[in-house]
Amino acid sequence: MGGKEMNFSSAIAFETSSESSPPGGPLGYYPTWQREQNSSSSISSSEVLPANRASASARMTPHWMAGVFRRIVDLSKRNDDWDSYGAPRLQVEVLRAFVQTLEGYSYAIQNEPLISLTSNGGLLCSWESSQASMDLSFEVAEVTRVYYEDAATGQEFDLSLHECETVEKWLWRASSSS
Amino acid sequence: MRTVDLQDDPINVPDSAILYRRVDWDRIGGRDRAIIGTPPKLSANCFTDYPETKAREYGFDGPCMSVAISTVLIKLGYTPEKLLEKHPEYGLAKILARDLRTLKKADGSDCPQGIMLAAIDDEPWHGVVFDLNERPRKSAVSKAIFRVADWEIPLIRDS
Repeated sequence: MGGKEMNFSSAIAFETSSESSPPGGPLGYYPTWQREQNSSSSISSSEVLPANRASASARMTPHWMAGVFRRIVDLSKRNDDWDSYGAPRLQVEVLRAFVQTLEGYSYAIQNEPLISLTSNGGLLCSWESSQASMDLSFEVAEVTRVYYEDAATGQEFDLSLHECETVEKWLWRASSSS
Repeated sequence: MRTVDLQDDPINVPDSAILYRRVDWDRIGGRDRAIIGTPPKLSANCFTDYPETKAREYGFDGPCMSVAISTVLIKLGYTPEKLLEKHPEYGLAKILARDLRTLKKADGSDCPQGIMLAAIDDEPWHGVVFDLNERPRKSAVSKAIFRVADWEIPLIRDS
């Protein structure tokens, strides 16, 4: 069982080639929340979700993205049966949805996810904070799935990304440092 | 190839049996993100089914998760370390059979798992776990398994 052979670094470069980071602050960019914070300096960054995607008008590369790409390149080196239970290697078909989703919601993601391989050669992004835990799973020929658990209530949600109307809020909470 | 019906087997896999499953770093976010000297957290991703095509290739009639069954290991005179003999870079997670048969999701609803022995040539202790209500297993059920699982032999990042 094998995935398509390819250079994952090139694949990622292709997926992100249209992005250009504007010159910014110490991190090389000004996150949306930071710009908003500059005009209302008393609000903690972890409390305020950027208003919407439109407000993040300039395409920016968040600080955690480099670690994500390093991790994907690393995972792309695994062979079939990497888990000793017959799982296929990382399937290149999942990369487009993975990159597009993380970039598309990057303004709502505060920290680098844990990224794991799945039994089907897909990718699992996980965040856990004191408020919530959340997974985004990317599998070949399947829609992206969202799992969210509210730490305070224990309530769980398991649905497709397309059905999820609160994904930004959930990402913001689950990827918080607190 | 003969197809094996997935049926819970409390005779050959009693409630007191411990089920083991190998875990590698890439199931749990990678070695680099682990804290040095501390066992990392297990993840629901450690408790997922074979790919359906793989399950059928192995002769099972639906998605299921591979495990090793303690009662058979003990009968053969082995300890859990036997399971890592060929896989020294892996850790080993454990789950009590009873906990799987009486599994509940976070909202308290039942999601019982079936367990059966499915010996293979070089692994007579091999068994499978499968969802009795819904296949393939949903994320909330893998999360429920994760909540009742623990390390038997943890992965440790030593540097």
